[in-house]
Amino acid sequence: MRHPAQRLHFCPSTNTLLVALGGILQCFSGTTGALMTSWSAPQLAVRTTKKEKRAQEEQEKKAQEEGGEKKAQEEEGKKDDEKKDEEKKEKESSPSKKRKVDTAEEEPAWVRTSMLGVGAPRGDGEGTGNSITRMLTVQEGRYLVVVTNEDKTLRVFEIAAGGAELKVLSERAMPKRLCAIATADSENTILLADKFGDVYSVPLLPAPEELAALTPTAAVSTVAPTAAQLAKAERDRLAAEKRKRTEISLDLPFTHTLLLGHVSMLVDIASVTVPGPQDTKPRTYVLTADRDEHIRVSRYPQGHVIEGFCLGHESFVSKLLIPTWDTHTLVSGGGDDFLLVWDWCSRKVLQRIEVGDLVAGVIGRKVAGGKLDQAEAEADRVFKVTVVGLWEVPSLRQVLVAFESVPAIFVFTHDEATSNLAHPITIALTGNPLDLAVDPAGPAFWVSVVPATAEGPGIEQFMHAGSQQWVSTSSSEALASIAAETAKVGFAGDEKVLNEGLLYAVGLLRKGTGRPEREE
Amino acid sequence: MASPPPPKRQKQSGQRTGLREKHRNNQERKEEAKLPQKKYYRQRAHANPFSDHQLAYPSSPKEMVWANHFPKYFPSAIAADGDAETKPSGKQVEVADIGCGFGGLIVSLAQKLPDTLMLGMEIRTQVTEYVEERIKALRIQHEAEGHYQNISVLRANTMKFLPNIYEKFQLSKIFICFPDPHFKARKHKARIVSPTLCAEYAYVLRPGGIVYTITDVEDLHKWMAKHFDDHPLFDRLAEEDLKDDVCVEVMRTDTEEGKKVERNNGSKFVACWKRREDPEW
Repeated sequence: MRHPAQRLHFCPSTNTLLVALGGILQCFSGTTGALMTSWSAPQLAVRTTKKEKRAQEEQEKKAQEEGGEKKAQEEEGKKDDEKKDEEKKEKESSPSKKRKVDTAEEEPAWVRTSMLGVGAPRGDGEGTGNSITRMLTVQEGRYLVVVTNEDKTLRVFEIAAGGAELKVLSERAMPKRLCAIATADSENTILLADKFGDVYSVPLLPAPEELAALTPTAAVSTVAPTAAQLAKAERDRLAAEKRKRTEISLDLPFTHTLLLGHVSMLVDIASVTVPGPQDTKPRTYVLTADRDEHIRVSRYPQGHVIEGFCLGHESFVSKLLIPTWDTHTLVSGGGDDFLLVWDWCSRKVLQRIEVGDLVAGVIGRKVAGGKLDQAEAEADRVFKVTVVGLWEVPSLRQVLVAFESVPAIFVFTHDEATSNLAHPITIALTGNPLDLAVDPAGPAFWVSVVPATAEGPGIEQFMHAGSQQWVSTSSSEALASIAAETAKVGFAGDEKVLNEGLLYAVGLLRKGTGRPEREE
Repeated sequence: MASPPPPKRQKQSGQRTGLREKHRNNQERKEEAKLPQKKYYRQRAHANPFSDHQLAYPSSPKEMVWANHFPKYFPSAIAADGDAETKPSGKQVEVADIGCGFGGLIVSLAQKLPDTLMLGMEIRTQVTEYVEERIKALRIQHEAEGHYQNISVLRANTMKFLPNIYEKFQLSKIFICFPDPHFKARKHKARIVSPTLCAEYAYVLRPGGIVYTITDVEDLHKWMAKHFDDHPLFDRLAEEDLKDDVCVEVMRTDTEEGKKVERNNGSKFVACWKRREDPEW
C-alpha cells in the first residue's frame, strides 16, 4: 500500500513543495516537479512488551527442544537469552517503564525525564512510526521546522542550495507530543503547543553554546561507554528532584519558556502581531484552541495575561486562521457544523457560516456537528463534521476549507461589501483530503488525498483560472513527477492504525467517541 | 475451636442497602427542612480533572442561568416584568469556593458576608448534591429572615471551565481550601494550582481581588506558594494584612477539612495573594 501524504507545505521563496509521507520528507521543485532532496525521520524500534517477549522466548525454547538444530544456533539462542536478561534488568531499573519506545541506548538521558504524563488519548500516531505532523518554512525559506510525533522532536533544518539540500541544525525533544506550531518575534521564536495543554516558546536557532548538544551527531557521541555512568548519575539526580515535589522538572537542556497552558489538549495555535494604539509598538497575541471548545487570546510574551476567550463553539476547535487581509478577524472551525468568524480583539462573533448543507451535498448523507450520539453513531445515519484545515489565498481573499472524510475543498470568498465570507464553491476531489498547500503567486494549490484506488493520484493540483474558477491541473508533467516519487513510499503496517493514528485523527477528538465514561 | 472474629462494623453509605436513595428521596425530611446527612452522600475523594465526565456547563458566561442558583437576586424572565420587587438586583457572583466539598465555608460565610453572592464549585456529583440539599434546607429554615439566599453550589470542573462560568474580572475572592495534594510528581499537572492555571485565576479575579489558600500538607503549601509568588500578577499578603480578615478565620475553623485537621491536631498553612493590575505593554 502506498503511504498517503499526510502533510504538504509550499515555500514560495524557494518555490519548493514539501511532502511528508509518514516519516519521509520529500522536497520537490514547484515548477518542474523534480525531486530535489529527501530526508527520513529516525524510526525508533518498538519495544516488545514483557508478555510478547515471554511468548517469543517460549517459542524459541520449544524450537530448541524439538531438536534437529545446529549447535551454533543454540549458542546464538543462549546469547539472545543473556541479552534479554540484560535488557530486562535495564528495563526494570529504568525510570520510564511506561515508555513504549525502546530508546535506551540511542537517546540522551534527558529524553526519559518526561514524567508529567497521564495516559495519552488515541489519535496520536501510535503504531504509525515516527511521522511528520507539522512542517513550516520560516525566514523566507531559509529554515524549515519539522515536528515528528513519536520522538516528540522539533527539528530545525537549514534549506541550502535553493531547496536541494536539507541540513539538520538542531533537534529538540519536548516532554509531550506536539500538536501545533506557530512563530513569533519576526519568526525568530517558535511556539509549540502540546498534547498536555502547554505552550512553550523556544528560539528558532539555539544559542551556539547549546547547539553542540542538540545536533544529531553530538547526540550519538554521548552514547560512548562513559555515557552509561553519566546517565546513571543523571537518573539519580532526577530521582532526587522528583522527591522534591515542589518543582515540575522538565530539565530540557535548551532555552525554553513555558508560555501558557490549558487543562485540555491543545489542537491549534496561531500568533498575530497588530499595531498598538497610537505611538506604541506593535503587539503580539497568541491564540490557542483546545479540545474543550475554548479559544484563548493571550499576550505575547506575557502569556500569563489572558486577554479573553472566544467562546461559541459547541465541540472541539481544530483550526484557527487569521486572514492576512484583516488581521483583526479570526476564522475558526472544529467539530461543529459551522465555522465562526470572530473579531478576536473584542471576542465577538462576526459571522456564523453554516456548512452542514454544503457537506451533505457532497456526501449525500445527513450531517451534524457537536457531541457524538451513541445511538445515531451506531445506526450510522448521521455524518459528523470535522474541520481538518483552513487555508487562505491572500490575493483572492479566499478561504479554503477541508473536512475529514469529505472528498472536496470548499472555497469561500471575502465579500467587500458585507465583509463576510460568502459565495461558497465546491471543488470535488478524487479522495479524502489530508492537507493543502497554497502557492500565492499562481495562485494555485496542491491537495494531498487518500487515494481512492491503488492507481489514484495522491496529490492533486488546482490553478486559478480567473473569475473565482479553479481548474484541475493534475495531469501536468510536474505533478506526474511528484506522483511517481511519492508512490515509492509504502506503508506495510495496519491500515486501521494508520487511519486512526495519523490520517483521520482529528475526528477522534470529539467527545463521546470513546467508551462511555464511568460516572463516579 | 475458635469462633471467627465478629464482622467489622463498617460505616454504611447505604448505597447497597437502598438507605441512600431512601434518605435522598425522603419527602418528609425535605418538607421539614431537615439538613441532609453527610453519610449518605459519601464519595471517593478524588476525581480525574482531565476526564471529560458528563459535565453540563455553559458555553460562555452569558449562557449561565443564575436564576436557578439565586432566585432572590436573579428573578426568572417571567417574573421580571412583574412588580418592582422582582427586578434583577444587578448583583453578580463575586466569591468562588473552588472545590467546596461539603460546603462548610460558603455556609459559614453566608451570614458573615450577607450581601455577597457566593458560589461553591465541586466536581463530585454526590457531594454537590449534598450541598444543594443543605442549602435548600437552610433556606427553608431561615425563610423568615431571608438568609442563605446568597450562596449556591455548582457541579463543575474549574480547571477546564472557569472561563465558561465567570466573566473577566468578575470575582473578588477565590478560595482554594484543602485541595487534593496529588503527591506523585507525575500527577502535578492535576493540582489545582499550577503556573499555567494561575493565569486563569488572574483572568476571572479583578485587580485587588484575593486568592485564599489553606492546606494541611506542607509540601503542597510550598508548591502553591511558589507558583503564586512566581506569578507576575499576584502579590503575597503579609500576616498582618490577614489578621482582620474574617474569611481567613472561617477558612481555618469552619471548613469540613479544617475541622478534621483540628481534631487530629494537624497544622494548617494559610497563604493569600492579591491580584495586581495588568501590566502596561
